Amino acid sequence: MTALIATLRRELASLWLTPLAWILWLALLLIEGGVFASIVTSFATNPGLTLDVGPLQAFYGQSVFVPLTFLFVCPTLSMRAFAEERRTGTIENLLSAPVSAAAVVLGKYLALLVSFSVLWLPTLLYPLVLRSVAEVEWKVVATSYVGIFGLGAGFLAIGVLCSTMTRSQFLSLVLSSGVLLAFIVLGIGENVFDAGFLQAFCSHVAIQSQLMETAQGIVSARRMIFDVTLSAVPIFLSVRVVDSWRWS
Amino acid sequence: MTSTRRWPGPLSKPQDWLRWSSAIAIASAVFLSVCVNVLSARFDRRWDATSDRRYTLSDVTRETLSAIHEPVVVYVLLSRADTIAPTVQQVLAGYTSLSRQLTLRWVDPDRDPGQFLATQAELGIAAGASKGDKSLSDSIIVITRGKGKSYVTTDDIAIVDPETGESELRLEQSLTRGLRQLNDTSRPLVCFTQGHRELNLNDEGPTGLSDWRARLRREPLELTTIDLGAGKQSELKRCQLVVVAAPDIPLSTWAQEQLRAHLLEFGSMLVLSNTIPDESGEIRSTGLDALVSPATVSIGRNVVVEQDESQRLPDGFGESFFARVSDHAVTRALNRGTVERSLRVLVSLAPTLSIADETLTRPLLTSTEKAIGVGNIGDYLNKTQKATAAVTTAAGKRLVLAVAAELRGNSQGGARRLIVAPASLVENRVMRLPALAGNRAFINGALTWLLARPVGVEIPSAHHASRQLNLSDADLTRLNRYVLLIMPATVAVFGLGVALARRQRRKSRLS
Repeated sequence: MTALIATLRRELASLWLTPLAWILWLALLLIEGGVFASIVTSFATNPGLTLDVGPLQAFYGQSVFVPLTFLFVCPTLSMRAFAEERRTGTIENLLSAPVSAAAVVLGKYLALLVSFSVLWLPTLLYPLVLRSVAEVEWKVVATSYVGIFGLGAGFLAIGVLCSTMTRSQFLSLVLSSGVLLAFIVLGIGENVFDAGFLQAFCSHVAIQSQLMETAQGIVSARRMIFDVTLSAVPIFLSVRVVDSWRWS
Repeated sequence: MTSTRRWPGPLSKPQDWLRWSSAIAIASAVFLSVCVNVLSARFDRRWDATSDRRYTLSDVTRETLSAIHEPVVVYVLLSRADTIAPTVQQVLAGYTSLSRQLTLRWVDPDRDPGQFLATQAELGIAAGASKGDKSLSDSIIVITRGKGKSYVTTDDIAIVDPETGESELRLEQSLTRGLRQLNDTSRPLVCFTQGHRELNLNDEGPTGLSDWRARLRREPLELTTIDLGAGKQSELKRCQLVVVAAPDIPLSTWAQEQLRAHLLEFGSMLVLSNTIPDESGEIRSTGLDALVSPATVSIGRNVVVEQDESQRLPDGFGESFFARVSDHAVTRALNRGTVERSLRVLVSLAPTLSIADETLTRPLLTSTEKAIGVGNIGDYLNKTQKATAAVTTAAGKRLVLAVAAELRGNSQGGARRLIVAPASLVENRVMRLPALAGNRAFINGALTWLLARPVGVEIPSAHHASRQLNLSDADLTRLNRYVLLIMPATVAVFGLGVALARRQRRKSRLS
């Protein structure tokens, strides 16, 4: 546990004392702020849009920019987790220390999760700002963040796995972005294929559908289980990969 | 730069074992996660966090879905960009998660116009097609089972209040009704008597029945009117159910005999009781007593006035109030309630009913113990001395407002049932109010019981949280300033602070 916390602190410091996290944060807020402002404007000027979906539902669930922010935030945050350490050779110090592979991987992963949550934290102010001009369902806001956090956790885990597979940060970024893009593209298949196995599969992995569901206040067991496995399997594989470095 | 990676070379036995165990662990983890995901997709469970539980399906829908034992295909002919598309998707996802017999086929006219036209042709909903007074070309959902089809149009799912202009989605009601219609192909004949100034099915005024008629026409029922005025030949024999809707002039002896004979020999009857005051305010006989006497029921010549302030409406003198619901098959939907939405029954100007044989006839609706029956409204309102004499009290008991009786089998052994209930339950002024779902649930329960088949899908509409934005230009400017300027600027300032602090520390370390 001590090792895990030490790794977590070390990773958090390395993320937040460099400009990367701050630039990411600024970019995310500018993009999400712009999207939110345009959604609110269109809802304010077009009352016909408010039949059953409000601006918050549209922002968290229907906007294509939320999945797109995953595409640049998660790989960028996670690319340096192991690739950078392997390139500079500092991983040797870490592996030679009396620390288990699981503690190293989990420590780094938790640091990424905390950072991801911090990046999204200011967007909580959006419903707060909107509260004075519209009715806000806070439970629905909470489920929206459950959806974002669940998917973010999964994609960060994939990013960590990609980072263990190469020494190049850039290659890690490209790899994990590719996997994330594949999820987004597969999600489109939900509306393309006829009812059957392919459609069911695409529907199961469709991130836009999950975001739409949680934004409307629905939490489904299959989505939660998908998110948990999306995080657990890559993290388990990463532990095995890091462990394998000790054999060589 | 050459790679510094060192391959282990020939494997030693412990390493070999480690690699194999690792490979097996990875394969097991992947296999396990696939299994868990397949199982979770098959047995999905959903939780609805909305304040009005708008995506939680009602008990009526759950019962309907559990009764489906054959494959049903639900075609959705709607653009994904439509404002109601997300809701349609979520509600249908709830349906499919409850029944594996349901298959969903979404055809988007914007993305695939060719497929859309082909599906329209396949389902027989090309332009101009109609069924009854329903234009099928407006169908956005078609439910099919074998050759049976049920159509849901935009008018069915979006009800627009003409006064406020607000829209209300009734998607679940329409879908469940559609599913039920597929299960039921016969159409029992429901006859409304005429000739004694009964409430009119075509009357769109507050005391008319046009709204009830519109609801009944969505059900697999055939509606007709039977004129019982002045010795006309009636065709009551054909009717599975006869509705006597509050005659404003007393029923003629001939009409009473016809209806009584029908009840004793042929079918069921719904008697909607009313009160007819004369010029002095004295309540007169409606002639309905003769009809309800086989059920040992007598109709009082009075009006029930509720004196319990928690039950009566603030307007009036207590003639309109919420009734207590007794336990009966008719009131099952009311007593059980659906998804935390309360269902109350509002009655108005109801006469008291007396039951002689409670083994045959049971009460459905009652007043509180504080209610009284007033024989002369004029005297009661003017508080004359005669008023006290004309008051009926139940000595601490509740006054009965509606009853249900199951009569003994006729010569063919057929079931005959009778319900007597206040006419105000089905008048337009009540049926039109979304909040009075209890009245509609009661009358649906009554028809279901009388016809011994499910009638009506009354799912109370949830209160939708208002999504309307009350934004002025100044509000919008302030909001934009917050999200586009202040929030990013704060982050930028903090980031700059961290960078400067770090630079400072590095400088001091160097010095």
